[in-house]
Amino acid sequence: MTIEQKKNGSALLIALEGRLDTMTAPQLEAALKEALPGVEALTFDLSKLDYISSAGLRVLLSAQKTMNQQGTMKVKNANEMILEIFEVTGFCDILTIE
Amino acid sequence: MKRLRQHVTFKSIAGIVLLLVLFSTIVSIIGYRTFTNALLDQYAEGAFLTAQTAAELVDADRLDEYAQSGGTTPAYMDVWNRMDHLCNTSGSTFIYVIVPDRSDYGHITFLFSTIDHDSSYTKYDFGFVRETTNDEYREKYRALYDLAADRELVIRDKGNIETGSHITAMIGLKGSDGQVKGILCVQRQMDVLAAERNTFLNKVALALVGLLLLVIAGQGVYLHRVLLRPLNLVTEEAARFPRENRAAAQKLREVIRNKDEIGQLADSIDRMEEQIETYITDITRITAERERISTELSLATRIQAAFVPHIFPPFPNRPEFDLYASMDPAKEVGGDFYDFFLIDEDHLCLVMADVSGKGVPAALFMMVSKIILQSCAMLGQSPAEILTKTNEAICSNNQEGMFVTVWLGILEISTGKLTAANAGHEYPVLKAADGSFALYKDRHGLVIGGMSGVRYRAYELQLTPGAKLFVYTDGVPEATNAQNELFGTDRMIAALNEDASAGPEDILKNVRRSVDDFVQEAEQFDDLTMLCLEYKGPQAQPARELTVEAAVENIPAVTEFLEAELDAVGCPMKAKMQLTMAVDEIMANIAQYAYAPGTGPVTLRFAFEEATRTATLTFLDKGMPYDPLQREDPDVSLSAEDRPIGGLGIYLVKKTMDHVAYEYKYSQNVLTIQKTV
Repeated sequence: MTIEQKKNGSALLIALEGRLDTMTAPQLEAALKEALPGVEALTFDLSKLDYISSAGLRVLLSAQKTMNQQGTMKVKNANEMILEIFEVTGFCDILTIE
Repeated sequence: MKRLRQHVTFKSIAGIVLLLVLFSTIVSIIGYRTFTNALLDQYAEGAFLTAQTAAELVDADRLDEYAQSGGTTPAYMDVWNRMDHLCNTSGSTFIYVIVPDRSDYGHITFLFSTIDHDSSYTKYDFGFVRETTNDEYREKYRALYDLAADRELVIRDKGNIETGSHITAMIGLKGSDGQVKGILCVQRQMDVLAAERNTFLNKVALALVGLLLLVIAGQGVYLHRVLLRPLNLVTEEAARFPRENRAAAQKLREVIRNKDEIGQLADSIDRMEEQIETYITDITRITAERERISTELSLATRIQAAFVPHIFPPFPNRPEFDLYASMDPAKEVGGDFYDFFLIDEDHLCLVMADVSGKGVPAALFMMVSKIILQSCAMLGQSPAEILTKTNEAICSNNQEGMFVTVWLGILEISTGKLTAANAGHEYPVLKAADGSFALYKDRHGLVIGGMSGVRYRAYELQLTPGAKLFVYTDGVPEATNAQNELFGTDRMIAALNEDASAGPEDILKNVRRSVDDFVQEAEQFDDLTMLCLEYKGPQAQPARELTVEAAVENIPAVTEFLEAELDAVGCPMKAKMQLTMAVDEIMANIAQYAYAPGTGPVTLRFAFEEATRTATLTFLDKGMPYDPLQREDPDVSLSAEDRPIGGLGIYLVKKTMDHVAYEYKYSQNVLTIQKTV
């Protein structure tokens, strides 16, 4: 999985490519831990993400909890399968999905 | 109650009074007659005695002379005075001598006539002539004159008599020539007799009334004590008992001491109450017992139903065959059973059996038979050996003489070779891949439990893909309708061939429906058990598998293996992603928990059925037994703040796969997921 970050002032755009699963979720978790301080508007671009597993959901939930303290977070361009997973897990009510 | 008492007392006393009155009347009449006659006789004797004495005063030969005397001569006066004296000293009222006129005795002439001076009578003067009083007198005068009688008696006590009741004794006065010259009569009043008789009657009446009162009082008291009081007690008890349904504290016999029929009635009621009470207790106990048995029976029904494999499809990860079975006991529990289980990965054992008898005894025997058969089968023996050993085991402890018919077959899944043995069971029904169902008349051995030392012979059949096997118990061909006709194997075969190409489940449904249509309202008499196997043959796509060490680092290797397999069968992208994600979740789970804190192997087996485009993935690990499907689903409606981190993996798998199953088998955790792609 590749993680691409674009920072613009206090706004951060993270584009994910590949799979967010048991193996790769720790990478994202580490990257976020480093990048989030000071960020007020976080956006995930999932247009190139193939799928997401529960480990990935865990990282997203954790990021949402952090951003609830310091700003806003949204998720965009998720594919059909990922949207379905957000749907069945109730994440569509937690995340701001565009 | 009051009315009854009055009724019985009244009737009883009235009857007795009536009898007494009748009796007294008869006694009085007899007494009156006897009394009157005795008194009259005495009166009459007295009067005749007086008459005799008076007759001696009168000389009959001189009657003519007296008649001429004019009643004044000294001789006449002498006789008259002595007669007068006699009249006043003899208790007579009237003594007189008459001469009747002999032509018709219609008149009489008085010659002498004396009266009792104290009476109210006046004497007739000498020569007074009067009419004879009545015919009775006339006849008697004639009798005396004709010498038909020496003396006569007239009794006048009936009717209105001027001179009062009296008797008149008459004797003929005979001259020396023997002829009657005149008649001497003595009249005595009967007032004394009447007075005596009245006294007698009064006394009798008084005694009767006294007796009646005594009888009424006595009978009343007696009836009350002996009949009514005990009867009341019995009646009250008879009313109380059904109301309270328990025997009285004090027995009727203790209060009713009669030794008569009423005493026996009290005895009978006491005994009846005791018996009814015992009966009620018994019935209550029996009812409770029956309820307990019924509860136990329904529990037994569930235990028995759960005891045979009853989850279908039983082997979702074995596409080489499909099977379905059903069991409907006629009673709560039955003696029929089917069984099927994998002896190892390549051998499927099928059992169809029928225990003699029905109900609980058959069910107990069935449980034992099933366990022994399975135990023998799991030892890897041949069908003939299994039946032989089972027979020995059952015969050694079979005191009730029960037996069980068994058809047992072992299918070698990879080749389709079916080895079977039959211990007195119904013929199996076979359908070749391109044929229709037909009875297969196999070799029968003796029933199991019939005799020890029996050796069973097995036979072999080759099943080709598409072949079907149907085994059943006699409840199917022997299902009976209201006209007592048997369903029979012909109708059964017809039902099987109704849609011979259908799957096992539908085939069983066809047979069942056919049986139901045939039997209609008649009661199900025997257990109805059926099993159908469809052999589909070895998989076209042999199972592929990959074994790695259960570690997170090895997940990519496993997903790569899966993706290659899925690409090979042309799986669409979305399904591939979902399956990959599922493998990721399950592998992560196994890596983290199965062997913790150590590690061990995990195998992913992949199978794909082209016909239904179903991918079956099986995960096998030898870690500690753990069923991840038992974990409760997470609450997906919670907010981000309340959400626990994690716990979603298995939930996602359940949501995205078509079928997920877990079992612990051959010391392995076996998790199977299926998805149509």
